[in-house]
Amino acid sequence: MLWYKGWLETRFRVLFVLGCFLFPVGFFLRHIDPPLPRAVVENLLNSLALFLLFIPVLLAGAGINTQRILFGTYKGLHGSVYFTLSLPVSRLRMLATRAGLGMLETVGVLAALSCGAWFMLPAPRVYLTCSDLFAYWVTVSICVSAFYALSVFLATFLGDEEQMGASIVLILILLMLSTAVSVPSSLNIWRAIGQSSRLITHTFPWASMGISLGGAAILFLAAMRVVQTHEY
Amino acid sequence: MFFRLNPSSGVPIYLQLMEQIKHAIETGALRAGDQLPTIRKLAEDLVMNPNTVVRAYRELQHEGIIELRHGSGAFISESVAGQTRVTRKAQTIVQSALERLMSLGLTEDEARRLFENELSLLRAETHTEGGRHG
Amino acid sequence: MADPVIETQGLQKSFKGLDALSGLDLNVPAGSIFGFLGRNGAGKTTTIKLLMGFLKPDGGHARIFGLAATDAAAGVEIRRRVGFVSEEKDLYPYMTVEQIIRFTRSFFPKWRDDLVRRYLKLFDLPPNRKIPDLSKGMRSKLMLLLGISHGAELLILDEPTEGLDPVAVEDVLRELVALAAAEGTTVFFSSRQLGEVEQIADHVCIIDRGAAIVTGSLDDLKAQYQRLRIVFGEESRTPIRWVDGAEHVRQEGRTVEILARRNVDAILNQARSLPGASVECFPVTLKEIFLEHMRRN
Repeated sequence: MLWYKGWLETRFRVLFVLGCFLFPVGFFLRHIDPPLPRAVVENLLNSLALFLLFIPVLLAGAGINTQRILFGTYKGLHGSVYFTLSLPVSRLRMLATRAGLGMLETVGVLAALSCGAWFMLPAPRVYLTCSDLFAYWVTVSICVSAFYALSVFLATFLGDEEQMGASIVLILILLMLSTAVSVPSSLNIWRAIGQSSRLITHTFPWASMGISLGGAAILFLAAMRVVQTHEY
Repeated sequence: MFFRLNPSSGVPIYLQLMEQIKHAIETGALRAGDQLPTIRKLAEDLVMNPNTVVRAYRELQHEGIIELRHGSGAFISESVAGQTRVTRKAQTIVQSALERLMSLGLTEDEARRLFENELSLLRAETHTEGGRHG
Repeated sequence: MADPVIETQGLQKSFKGLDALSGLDLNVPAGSIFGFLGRNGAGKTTTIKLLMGFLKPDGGHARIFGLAATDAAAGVEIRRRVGFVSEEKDLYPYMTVEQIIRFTRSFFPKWRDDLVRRYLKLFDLPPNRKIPDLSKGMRSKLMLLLGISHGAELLILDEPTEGLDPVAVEDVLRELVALAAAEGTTVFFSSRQLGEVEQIADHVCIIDRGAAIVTGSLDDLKAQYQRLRIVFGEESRTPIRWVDGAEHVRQEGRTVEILARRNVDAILNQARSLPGASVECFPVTLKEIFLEHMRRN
């Protein structure tokens, strides 16, 4: 029943994210149809991308050192980690279950937001088609996977709740670096969610998606390694 | 079974239990043929280690005081009836020893301390001997 | 002789250069109730964490059911057969009593619903209450319930009665004894309370500063140690050289007290042979053995 445990840990976060993000997403996407000047739209999408990165961070976890549902006082290593580790389940399985659940929730939330946004767009929907939003959903899901994996990796040694702050800080640093160092826009994951996204370019940013998946794979492997060797 | 054990004393608990069972036989609380509680029940009632109960029962069986009947439980053996004769003899010895000590002018307390001291010395010797050969 | 359920050899662990365990040898026989005694910081919890695989040893090895405690796959098998209670007694703050029972149950095919019902009633645990709303004592009992109810062959308990009132302590001790008697469960528990260990344990290990001071069957230990008190006619000026085995000798005026660990009859003979000496002999309690070793260290 590891899924059940993970669900109890994340269900309010899922609701929170849906509640907080539905209107901003809708608001942002409204301004694409009918289309505003390109520069404005790009800015809007970039801001939206920043918002969307919070979703995987909030939902990510390693399943081992967990404390509370959303917010609370920092307590360091919670005693319940020993109860979790005393169960006849391998640490890898705990990690896989919790990380898998979080990823499913992330993808699910993004789908819900995309659908919700679709319904918030005023009819007739001329510029954005359904398939556009579907492709947008696929792109964003794949491109946030690297950031999701980063959160999971941090969770393995910081703890599921503690990783949120650290993840956000790290992601912001990475974003600032990506604007300072000129990364070709075809490889920039953030751009792929933001201004280069399917909604504008109508093509899949394959390179960025590839990089994201590659980064996610490496980070997951690192998380597996940490989980197996970590001492509590 | 109204047994009183003191786990904090230096005396091994199995010995205390044996003592209490023997005392129960002497006072007539337990008679030949009576059944003792099962190991599990005694351990639970007295909140003591079941292996300790096992050891006490085994030692008592070794001394011939109880019989362990396979499948039925532990019973006071018939031969304890003969014990009363020994007890009566022992009583006579102690009575005459005490009379002689009193005639020397010892008080009750002094006499008791003497007996206890000699007994503990005896116990110490038997233990070390048992430890070497046991 | 059956294989020991828990066996460690030269178990070592240090944190940041400080030795928490410096070569611990443990041997827990099957079906025994093993009391693991020590002061705060002596290394009891570190040992238990090493046994459960939360930590990896720096040296030596630990085996449970003959399986290596450090191996990941063996660890899963071990934990399937072990009931555990941690020192902190912390559980998930977002679950109720009933939810965590259901959650834990799903991992153990040999789960005993009858034991759960019995302990819920005995420990008076309200099924619908959220875990953070339980008192510390109730959380202890809940953790014990979770550890006991899955038909474990071995219980590893870190201070299981800590924070409990005397009645609850007696209840817990009785349940442990009942499990040992009925199911042959081996119980390995750490404690700072000598009284509990003396009451239900048949084997004992006293640990101090990461090493075992005293270990073995409790009955054997009590038989081994004797306290001798010798009163002389006059105060002796010259110190007496006692034979080997006289561990702790204290002299006050005309009285000498000896804690004898072995060779008691030789010491007795020597004592009796001294002119004008009257000798008394007392059994030694576990508390005295414990304190005597602490004093020496």
